[in-house]
Amino acid sequence: MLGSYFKIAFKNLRVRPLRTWLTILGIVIGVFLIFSLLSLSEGLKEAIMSELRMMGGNLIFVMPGDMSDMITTFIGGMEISNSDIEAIARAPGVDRVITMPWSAEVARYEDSSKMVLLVGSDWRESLDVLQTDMGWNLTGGSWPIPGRSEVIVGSLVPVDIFKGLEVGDRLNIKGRLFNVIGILRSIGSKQDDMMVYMDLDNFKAITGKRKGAQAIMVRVMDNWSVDEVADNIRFELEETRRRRRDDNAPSFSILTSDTASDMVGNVMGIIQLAIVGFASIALLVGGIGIMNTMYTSVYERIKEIGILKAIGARKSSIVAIFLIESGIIGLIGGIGGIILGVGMAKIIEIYADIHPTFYIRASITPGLILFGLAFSFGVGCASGYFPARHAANFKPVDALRYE
Amino acid sequence: MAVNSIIRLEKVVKKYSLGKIDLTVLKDVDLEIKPEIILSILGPSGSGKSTLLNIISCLDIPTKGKVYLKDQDVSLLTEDELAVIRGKTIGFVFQQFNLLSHLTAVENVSLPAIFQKIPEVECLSRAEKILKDLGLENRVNHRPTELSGGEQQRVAIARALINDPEIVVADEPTGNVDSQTGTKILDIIDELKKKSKTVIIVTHDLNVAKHGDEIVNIKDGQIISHKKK
Repeated sequence: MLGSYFKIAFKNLRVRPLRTWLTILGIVIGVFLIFSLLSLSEGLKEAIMSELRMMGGNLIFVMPGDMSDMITTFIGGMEISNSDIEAIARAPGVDRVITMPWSAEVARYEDSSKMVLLVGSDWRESLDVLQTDMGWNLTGGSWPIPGRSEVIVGSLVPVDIFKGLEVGDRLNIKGRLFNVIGILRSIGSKQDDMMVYMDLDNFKAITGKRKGAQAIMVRVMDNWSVDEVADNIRFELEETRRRRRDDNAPSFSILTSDTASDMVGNVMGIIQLAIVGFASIALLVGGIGIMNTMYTSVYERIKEIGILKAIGARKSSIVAIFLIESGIIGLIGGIGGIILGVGMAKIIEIYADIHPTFYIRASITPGLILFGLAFSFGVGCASGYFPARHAANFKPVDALRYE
Repeated sequence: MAVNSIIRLEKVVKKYSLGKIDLTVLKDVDLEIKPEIILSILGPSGSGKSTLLNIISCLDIPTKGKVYLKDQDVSLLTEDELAVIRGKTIGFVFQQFNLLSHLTAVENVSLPAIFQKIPEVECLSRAEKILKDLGLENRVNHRPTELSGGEQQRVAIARALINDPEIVVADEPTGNVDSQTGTKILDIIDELKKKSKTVIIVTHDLNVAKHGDEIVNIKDGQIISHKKK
């Protein structure tokens, strides 16, 4: 019976094709917006999460400033001071403290001079942590030897910054020559993959930055809980500030992989909610379009409704036919919106690949497609409900008399 | 208890409100219709014959009075219950044919069966058979606009018959066709009586009314005569 209603509904929609397609277009736009934005934001979330997953479970990151105000932290050039670093090292359960300061410097390769982000790291302390806990790998070359004028470069440096750069080539940074000893496999974020990594002593010599760091990486001793050590670090840092009576010392944030994942999850959740909220407005407009079309259709078909009722259609049958019509409009709009949304997401993905800002992959799952289809069908049905009820409530004798 | 009448009207009043004015279209109408006959309701325009037909066929309910269909008081039923009765027990033939223009003949005919929740395949096969019986086997997949007036009326009759109703009501069935086609339509109606159907025809044409076994004359909302052959 429902199959028959679907056939009747399809035929009804084909009577006024232009109006039907224009109404469908309204839904296409709404679903397209929701689908493309949701798939991209989900992809973004997955990219960040995968990066966080690469961060070892026994690592703690300490950063200056409040996590809720990262922009001020970075623009303000806030740093963890040497005394803070010493305090962190004192905290029970801390196995190793690794500083990785960075600075933007001009580097020269053959005839090309480009601004690159230099990262300094004490290879003696950090190499095994980076390899085992952060999952760093080389695509070519070897790991640097501490103290030597050697650099390893992110996977995108030979692709996007110094095209053709190979292991064995030399980079001139502030007048000093460095051997490119290794090229890293992608670390996960585009920024990280575009950095040049060198021994901390060389970094200090080049940049003149001898104190502090923008971020500290801490490895937790075996058999210690990460949360417990994080609490110990917090205690030591607060104690240091109390002892120094230094009210001007910047606040700090302690981040474990769990808290980072939670934070990203929460932030992305809010972003996605906002995206769905805004895009839903477009879909709402599409829904109102369906309602308008269905009301118009009801008024044009009063006599037809009367005929159907005269030959035995119950109220529920009339409601079903009109709901299916509006649902079909929603569903076709949904299919169109999803196709366009996938297309747009893929275009943005390709654009992001070409223009290195951030790794972004559209996350298009069967679940998201099903959600899109069900949602658009639901919007169609919901929008058609009142017109359908209106149609069903016509008295057959009045409807038959209508001209 | 044996059913003497298939339809019985007792003191039926039907009023319409036109703003502040109440218009009484039917005034204390009593009528008994026996099964398996052709009953003609004859009357001039505005006499109330169509309103009477609407009440007889459960399309409308009376303002006052009782309507019995096979001894069941239908004036107390809900709209959906009336729809079920219309679908199962009553077949409609309208003056304007009232076919859905975007559906083919076979789809139009199968609609009442679809609303009775009969599987679509069976609805279509029934519809094709009835159309064939009415000589429309070559018009099965034609839309109403591709059919002549007579063919359209035969499709409408086929639609009225698909659920094998006991009662067929026809509102001016020959009103929109030429006289030759009109004669054919009346022949079909005669055939329906032979198939034990009760046929109620509303007409203002005396020649059509004469086809009835009984003729009810209505004027100003009142039955002024009920003649039996």
